[in-house]
Amino acid sequence: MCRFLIFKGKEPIRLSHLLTRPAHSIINQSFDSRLRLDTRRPMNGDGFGVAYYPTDAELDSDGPCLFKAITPAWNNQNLETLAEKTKSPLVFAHVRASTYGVLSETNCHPFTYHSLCFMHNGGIAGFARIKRRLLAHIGDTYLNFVQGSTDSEFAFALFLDTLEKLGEDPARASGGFSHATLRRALVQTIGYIRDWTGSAVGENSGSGETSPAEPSLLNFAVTDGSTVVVSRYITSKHDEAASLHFSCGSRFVEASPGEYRMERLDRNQDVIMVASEPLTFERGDWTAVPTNSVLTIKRQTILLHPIVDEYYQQDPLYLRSPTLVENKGFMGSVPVAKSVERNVPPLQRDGRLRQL
Amino acid sequence: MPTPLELVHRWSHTYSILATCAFPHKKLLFAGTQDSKILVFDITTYNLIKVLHLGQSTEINTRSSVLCLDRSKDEKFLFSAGADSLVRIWAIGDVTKDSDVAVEVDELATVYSVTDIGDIFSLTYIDSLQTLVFGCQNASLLYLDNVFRRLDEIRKSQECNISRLPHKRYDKFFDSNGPTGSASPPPGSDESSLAMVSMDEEMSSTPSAILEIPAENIVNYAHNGFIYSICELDTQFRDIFQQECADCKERPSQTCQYIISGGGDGVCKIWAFDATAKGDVGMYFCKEMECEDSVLSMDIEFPFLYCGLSDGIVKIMDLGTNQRVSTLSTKQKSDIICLSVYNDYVFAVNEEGITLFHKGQSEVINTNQGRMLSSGIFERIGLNGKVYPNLLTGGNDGSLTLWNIACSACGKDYNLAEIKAASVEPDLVQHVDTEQMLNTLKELISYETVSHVTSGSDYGLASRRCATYLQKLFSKLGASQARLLPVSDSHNPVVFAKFTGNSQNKKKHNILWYGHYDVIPPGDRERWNTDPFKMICENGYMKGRGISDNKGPLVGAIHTIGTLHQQNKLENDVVFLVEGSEEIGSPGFGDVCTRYKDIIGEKIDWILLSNSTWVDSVHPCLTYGLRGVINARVRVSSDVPDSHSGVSGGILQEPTLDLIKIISELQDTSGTINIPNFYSNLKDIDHEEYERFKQVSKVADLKRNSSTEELIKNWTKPSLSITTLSTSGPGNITVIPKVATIGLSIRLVPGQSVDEVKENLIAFLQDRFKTLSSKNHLDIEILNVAEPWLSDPKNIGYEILKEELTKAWDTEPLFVREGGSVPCIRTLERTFDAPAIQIPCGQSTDNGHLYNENMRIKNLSNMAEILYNAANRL
Repeated sequence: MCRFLIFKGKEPIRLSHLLTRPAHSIINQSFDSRLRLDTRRPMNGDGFGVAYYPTDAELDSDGPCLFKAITPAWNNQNLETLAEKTKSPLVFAHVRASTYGVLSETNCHPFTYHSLCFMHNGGIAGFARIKRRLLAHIGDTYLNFVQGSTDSEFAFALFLDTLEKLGEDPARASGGFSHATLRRALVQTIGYIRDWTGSAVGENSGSGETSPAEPSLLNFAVTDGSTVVVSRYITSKHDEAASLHFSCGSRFVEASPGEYRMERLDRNQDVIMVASEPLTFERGDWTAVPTNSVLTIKRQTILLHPIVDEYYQQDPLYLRSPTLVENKGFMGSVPVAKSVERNVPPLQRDGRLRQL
Repeated sequence: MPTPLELVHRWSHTYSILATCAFPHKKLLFAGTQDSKILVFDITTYNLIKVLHLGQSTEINTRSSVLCLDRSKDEKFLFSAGADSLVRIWAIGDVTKDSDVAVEVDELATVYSVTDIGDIFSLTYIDSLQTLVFGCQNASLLYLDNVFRRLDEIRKSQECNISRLPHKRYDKFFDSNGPTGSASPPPGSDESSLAMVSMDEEMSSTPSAILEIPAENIVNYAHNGFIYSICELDTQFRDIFQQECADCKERPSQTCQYIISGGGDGVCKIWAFDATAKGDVGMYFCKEMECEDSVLSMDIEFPFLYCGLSDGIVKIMDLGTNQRVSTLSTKQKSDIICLSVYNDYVFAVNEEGITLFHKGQSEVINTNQGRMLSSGIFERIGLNGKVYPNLLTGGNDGSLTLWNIACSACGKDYNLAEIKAASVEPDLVQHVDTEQMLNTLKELISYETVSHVTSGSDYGLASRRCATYLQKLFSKLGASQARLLPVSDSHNPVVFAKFTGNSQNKKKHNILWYGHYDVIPPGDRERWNTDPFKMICENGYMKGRGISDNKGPLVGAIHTIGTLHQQNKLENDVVFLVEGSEEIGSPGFGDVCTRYKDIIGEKIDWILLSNSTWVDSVHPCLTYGLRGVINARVRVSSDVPDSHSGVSGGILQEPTLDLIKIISELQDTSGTINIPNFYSNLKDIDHEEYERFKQVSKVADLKRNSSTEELIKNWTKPSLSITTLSTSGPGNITVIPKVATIGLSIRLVPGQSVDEVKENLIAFLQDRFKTLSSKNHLDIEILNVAEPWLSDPKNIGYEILKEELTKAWDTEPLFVREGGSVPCIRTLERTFDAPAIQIPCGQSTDNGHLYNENMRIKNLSNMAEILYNAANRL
């Protein structure tokens, strides 16, 4: 069960406000067993990574600063001090519980390529069966770019290749791709994986891999340093995708030690966060990204686009089954505020079924 | 372009005002706040009359911030929605005015969706289809048609509402599978305790019905961004669109309604709502228009759509031709949070303030509200049936402000008959227009009419201008006479005016209203929160020097009599005497009364005045007694100049010591005043009066003098106070002053004669001084005097006013006496041989003579109402 977190703000934020201080921060999520749902792998202890874009114009070219380690995130002194002394308006953070690939720094998310930064929460089912096909599809540049062995990194390579085939140069140091292009490239990447894994069902891989009939969980996040595109996707019509929430507001403030809340004075989105699991204890601050859709942060505005394919559910009230993702540990829990209003109707976010 | 905005009122709240909605016929304003409340203001008195709390929690919470409000056209329902993903329907009852302006508000229903829609940013209600449409954070557009039919069905169904309400909120933490793989029962919240909780909640509030949005009424991805704004298009657009829709597949009927939604994806989409024969309402997409940037706000003025975008851009589209007509741009490039258009005047709100665009010109208006978050224009209906366009803006500093849009921008009159038909209960209609009184007061306060003992100062000019203004005002209101009566020694003139009653049947009575237009100096202006000579209206109060003493009550009386006269309903004759030197003891006023008695009126029946306040802030009062006063200055001086105590100490007979010796003999150690015959004619109060005082001390919230005994002392017993103490010389501790002066203020009560006490005081002091065999000189100067006044609280005049006060305030007034004095009251009574009645207008918190003088608007309008009804009865 990996977790990722994206922050994009009008003003830079100190990384510790995201990573180390909040009681339900991504780092704490990596060991806090209180909210444990994944019974097989109780810890996200297989390393972590943080990518952040600097505020200094001189430094802000050719991608973010990237800091990865294979030590458990809660035990890393460097992370502790760096987070305390670093500010950035755009942060990608990831803690890992390996599902594929060995424990090494090269296998830690996020991955970067010049201005671009990428991470993944989930897994490509039966990746071994489509790996050759993927390698054959992508250009040499991106084939050689892959250093590690994870499905996620190959997915990034595929994304870069797709972006190039859309007529862009992924190596452009200044980034600045249009939000539509980035979104198209990401949806296209998901499309390739969907089609390939789909047609691989029934083929014999001979490796005793995860059954390809099992859906792929494709929560991808990519940014060029200004626009962010995040998907919440599953190759299934009936199961829920790995959890993904977003929150936006005026300020992210520490209400009491360790307890943060999104201050929402108005409709402005000066602060936008997208996370596998909410960071604050105000469930009203967080909205679930619909399954099989793409969220785009264009400047400080959130856009939502559906991914309409054979796995899209037209009925807005269709309840996808959370069993699969819960078993795989990809369902984030919503931390609960001290006072909870009881006299309000149910929300899907709370997982309540309608029992009227 | 002159700024067409004029501040009418300002309210303050502790949290941001995020949404506003006006009910012009009910004369109510609703404001949604960040801390999950809806504030209800009454715009006849500008008071906050109700606060609606969202949710059960009584502690401050910002989980249910109200982001949007709308109403039904008939003003019977209010719809609110916001951060809690819920739409609430409120039934707004008729406004009653029994005691207080009050309105019944019931939460009828809560509308929800099981999908995770996030915040609800926009909401509109289509009256003809009873359909509620709202736009959400997850880019979906939801609607609920036939809202009230659905509600009726729910009510009719046998199923109990309570059982439908999911009390047991699923709790992710407790209800999730723990590490063991099984859900653990939530500690401390087992079935029984939950049941208890819900029981309590049921007791405390009637659970409202809940309505779920059906799946077919959810349009996912209606936009690809947050849906910030929805506007209903009026029927004028239908004709245009139906031409276009001629070849549309879902050809809408003649009764279809259109809305337009604007989203963060920079697109405006027009949707049609149409009812089937069975009455079910469907929603169809019509067409869209690209705006490129996020559409944060919209407004419509036929045939144009105005879109407020990010970066300070306002785009104007012609909905008939789908063309962009014009692009406006604010100076500061920040998001246009809200946008209102009125007769081609465009009010765009962003971080900087309001930018007003009109005919190619633009102007920035700073409203001092922090960042403004909400705005709206509505047509306020005046007493005369005219409409006044008003702008309402809410800020992140919790301020809500109401602005008049100047009439060059309105140019539109309501049909009077239409108003009458739509207006609420007749007893609600004010007789005297508060707005007119406020306008007059705004002018009157701006005159710095501070009265000075020495005339001819700059303030004197202001006073004379003010007197002329009043004279003109009287003429404008129809006074048969309005003139300035000169006062000797060039003191400020007395304004005299006469309204002639039209009574044919009964014998006309003659009523005299006494007031004054001068004020006490403002003192240190730094200690005022507002400019003392600029009237500001805030939170239901008017602020400014003289607003309570005495300009406010004066304007109340003038406008009431003026209104009666203009309506041809004034039966009695009413004369006004408004002087300009009350605060310095009314010099020359008595002479004027005598000299012009033939003009003023040989026979006066009642003298009315309102020159004091209630004894507390809640209980209306009628005053029937005042103490008299003798203010004197006692001075002992020596022929020797100021000298050094080291050189002359012990040799001189010192003036200060002489003065202290004689003054100390005025009162003995038990506090009894030693002036001869001081107490000889005093009577104890009777039982009835004692009971009256007891009542006052029991019910009134008195800050000082709270016991009955203290009230008796303060109101019915004489007193002697040393008020000032000064000496000549540099004030150095080693200097023996040549002159020592003490100020004396003696309050007198009925039974005591001012002249006798005065003479006895002088004689007593001179006698005591003689015993000192001093070479020094004693001077006693009487500065001003006033006779004590005591009226009969049971006379017919007081009876009538008591009834009218009781009607207006829904509580019987307290009959009080006061420890203070009004010099002219006895002068008037004697000159015109008529009983006086004092009707306090403001509250004890008015701060008359102090910093931040203020008066509640409701007190002014009720005062007018009381006088309106009493004027013909007296």
